[in-house]
Amino acid sequence: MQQFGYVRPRSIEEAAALLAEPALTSRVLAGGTDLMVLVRAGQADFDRLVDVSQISALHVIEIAGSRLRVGAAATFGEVMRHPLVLEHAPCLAQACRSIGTMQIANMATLGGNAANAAAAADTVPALVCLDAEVLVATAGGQQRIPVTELILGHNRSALPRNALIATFEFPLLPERTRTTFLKIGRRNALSIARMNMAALGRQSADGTIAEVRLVPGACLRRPRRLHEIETWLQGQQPAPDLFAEAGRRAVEVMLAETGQRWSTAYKTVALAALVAEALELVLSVEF
Amino acid sequence: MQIEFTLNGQAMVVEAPPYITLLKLLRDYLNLTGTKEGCDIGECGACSVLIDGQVVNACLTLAPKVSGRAVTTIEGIRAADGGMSDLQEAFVRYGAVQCGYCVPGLIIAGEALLSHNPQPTRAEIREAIAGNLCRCTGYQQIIDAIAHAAEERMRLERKV
Repeated sequence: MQQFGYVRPRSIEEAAALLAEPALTSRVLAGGTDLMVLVRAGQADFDRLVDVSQISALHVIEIAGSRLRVGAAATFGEVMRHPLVLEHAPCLAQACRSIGTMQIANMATLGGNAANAAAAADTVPALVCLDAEVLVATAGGQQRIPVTELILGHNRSALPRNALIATFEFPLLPERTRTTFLKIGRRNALSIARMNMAALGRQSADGTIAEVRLVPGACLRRPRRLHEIETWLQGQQPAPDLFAEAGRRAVEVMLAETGQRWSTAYKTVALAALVAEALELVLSVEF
Repeated sequence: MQIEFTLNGQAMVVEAPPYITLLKLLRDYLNLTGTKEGCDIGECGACSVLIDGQVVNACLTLAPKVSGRAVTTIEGIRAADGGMSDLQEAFVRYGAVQCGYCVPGLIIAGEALLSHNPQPTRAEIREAIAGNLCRCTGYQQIIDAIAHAAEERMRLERKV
């Protein structure tokens, strides 16, 4: 087993100071559900772990002005049960629930899921769909960046080694906005997503689409909203044919970005279906 | 390093390296072998323990994480007279124990569920044990055992 040290700071500032110490290679430990797998595989690339999971400031879930703020060390279990999340960000609660095992849910954190930046990360499409920003703390202070800028690709995060994610924040949604999260996995529980999707929809008084957001996961080079399709959908009347066409267009976007890969035959079918299903859930055909 | 925590209600201080898992600490340093190693990677639940009442995989928990916290292992689950707890008896009575390997983890997961949700539906039981694999039973007997133990606890509570 690989050897390394362990330290548990009691505040964000203390954590940032420890991460900045030059003599050691330190790395943030939150829940450990991804990190321990690396350690098991002999891939630990650090001298010391800085355990931030017990810092109370990182567990906040609260309204801050017109935004919802969720601490980076909030576990999937805490997030999926919290009344504020259930009310204001159901897609995030659903994403956390989709992990399908209480054991992992009680340890895994939002910050860890984002920082690990797996292509199939479940909370990431939900956070991108919510237009979340991330507060990143270092010894030099705090910086706010969109979550889309934090994640560069599969397992590639823009988070520097000496930084920790402090909180996620996103604007509270207008009334009558619906969000959802869907996941395709090889099993109902305990499975990594083959593909997932977060979506948001709101209709005007005449039933036409006032706002729609689509964020597929494990699909594109980097997680992002499908702005091309959202813009095209805006103002249109929800209908099954429209949703199917949105699915087809999403596949075109994916193919343009990723080209033909070993998984394409499967993903084209899956993506088209997920898009249509997600739109059905956030937009009413009979309004 | 010194790891100070509460284990099955008792204060403990253990000298152990900071880079081992809680599973290794329990089994190899404390000789508590009731918690099983199934996959060592968080996918089977055989290593489930409670930390502050929440069910987690001991194989994914770095040992020093339990400092200052309360850990419950299967060794800590028993009736007041030292015999089997009601949930353990229900597992036996309803045929939920075959090879037995998954049972400690499932008892822990079952206790975690009932402590948070004393009247779970069958669907809620299934969700609560979704992180525990069993190769022998097909799960129905396990769900029956947890459901009946829950009912019995509620019945006894009403009596009091």
